[in-house]
Amino acid sequence: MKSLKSYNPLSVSVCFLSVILISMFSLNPIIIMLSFTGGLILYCSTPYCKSKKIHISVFIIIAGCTILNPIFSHNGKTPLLFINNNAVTAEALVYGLFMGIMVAGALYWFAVYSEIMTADKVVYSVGRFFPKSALMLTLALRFIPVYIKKSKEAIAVQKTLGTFKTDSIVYKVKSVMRVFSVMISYMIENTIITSDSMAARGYGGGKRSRYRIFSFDTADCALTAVTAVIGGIYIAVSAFGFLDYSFYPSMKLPGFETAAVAAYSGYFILCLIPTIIEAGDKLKWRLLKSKISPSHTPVAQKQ
Amino acid sequence: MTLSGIKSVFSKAIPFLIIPLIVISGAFVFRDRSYSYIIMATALFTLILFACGFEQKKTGTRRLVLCAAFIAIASIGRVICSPLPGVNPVTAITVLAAVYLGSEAGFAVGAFSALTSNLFAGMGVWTPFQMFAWGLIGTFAGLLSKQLMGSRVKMCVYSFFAGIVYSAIMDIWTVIWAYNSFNLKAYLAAITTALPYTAIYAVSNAVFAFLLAKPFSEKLGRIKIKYGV
Repeated sequence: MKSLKSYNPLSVSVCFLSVILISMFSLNPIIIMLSFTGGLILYCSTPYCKSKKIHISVFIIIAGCTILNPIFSHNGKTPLLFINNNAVTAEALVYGLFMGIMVAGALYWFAVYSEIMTADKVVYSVGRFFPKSALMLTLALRFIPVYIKKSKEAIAVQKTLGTFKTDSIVYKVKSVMRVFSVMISYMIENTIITSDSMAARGYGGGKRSRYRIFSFDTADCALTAVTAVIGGIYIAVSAFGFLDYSFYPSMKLPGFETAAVAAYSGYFILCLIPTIIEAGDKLKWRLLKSKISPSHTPVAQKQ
Repeated sequence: MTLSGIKSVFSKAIPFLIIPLIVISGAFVFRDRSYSYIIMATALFTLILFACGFEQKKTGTRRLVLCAAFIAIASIGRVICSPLPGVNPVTAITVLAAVYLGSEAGFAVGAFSALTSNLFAGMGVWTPFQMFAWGLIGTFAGLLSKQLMGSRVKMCVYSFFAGIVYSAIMDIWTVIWAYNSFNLKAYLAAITTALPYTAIYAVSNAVFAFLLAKPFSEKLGRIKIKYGV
């Protein structure tokens, strides 16, 4: 078992995007709940995402959607109360709730996904199919820290020349514009030097190599295959209409035919796979550690 | 068949074969939310189409690196301005890049600024639509470059309206995603809720265009003569 971060970005992307896309384009409340549960478990169990702020925004999104939807949508058969002769229906309320849960679940999934897909992995994935765009992306990502450093230098120099001294807003804006003008000169000259240097080293003259290489090994094959099989089952079941659901005009229980149950359980397994991979990696780490520690204890006792 | 040969076939096949195929088959699979699916798939394929065109066209190394520099500046600007809601210089910089470097470069700068700045500001379902909206703004600015070039006021007016169009495009997406149909009432409600945001955004775009136009046009004009970009 290896951690999600060391998987090939393509196989991880296929898995994550299938989970997110299926939950986004399905109205079935069970699918939405499964995606939310899977995302929450993954977010809380991965070591990468420690921020608790996301739970607050999730709460706001769910509450906001639940409250706002009945205001704009008056479909549904069960009126709860009337405001300005417009019915607030139970269906619209529940529809808003599930829309909120869907967005919130996608938020958890995307939070983990963007933690795994670091900039070099994005460049790697894009570069396989669009080398020129990937080169532009790489250059831009390199320029960002360079420009930030240079602008700090420019500000320091301008301060010694006496700008940025007064509190007047007009004067401050003028000073910022001065630094900005310096930065544009630097940026343009720098691009000319960079591109000439690239041309001198033979850019465009042959096949390019990559900065980082991710192998596509058996674990990646397995992940992609499992995702493809489960995605195929979902598509087949959904195309035959077993997963259709509608909140309007009145709510009913979603379908529980054998095919539908197969699709639900398959989808839930897909949602849990990233968590299982991470847990397996953690377990391996623990087991390796426990083998090392006993040999040290006797020495410590002697002293 | 060479790689570029495959790519050229691919880029020709996409609009006539693959897009309708995926859109129609997907609409059958995701019946409940077929409209959201169609709009998302279309946005994504438009981006891929533009990327294919960009890959095929011979872009000079200097132009390519200049585009990357514009993307970097736009992303830094967006991250710096992120505490102020609705204020960011991406539109203004995209318009400037498009006017001076052409509409393809405008699309690339707009779309990739959205992608790179979202690496810092947060990726999400909205990323393809932001890329699409800003790319579109850049493309049209490039097409209007003869009218816009050299006139600060026209650039400000264009950026102002680009801000409004950007909000309108993003609201269409919000409504279709939430209701799976184009509900005019909900769309008006979404526009009204976003009105203060849109207003700040449009005005700040015009201000950024006004402030940035002069240094950019002077210096880009100079290197165009000096190095022939």
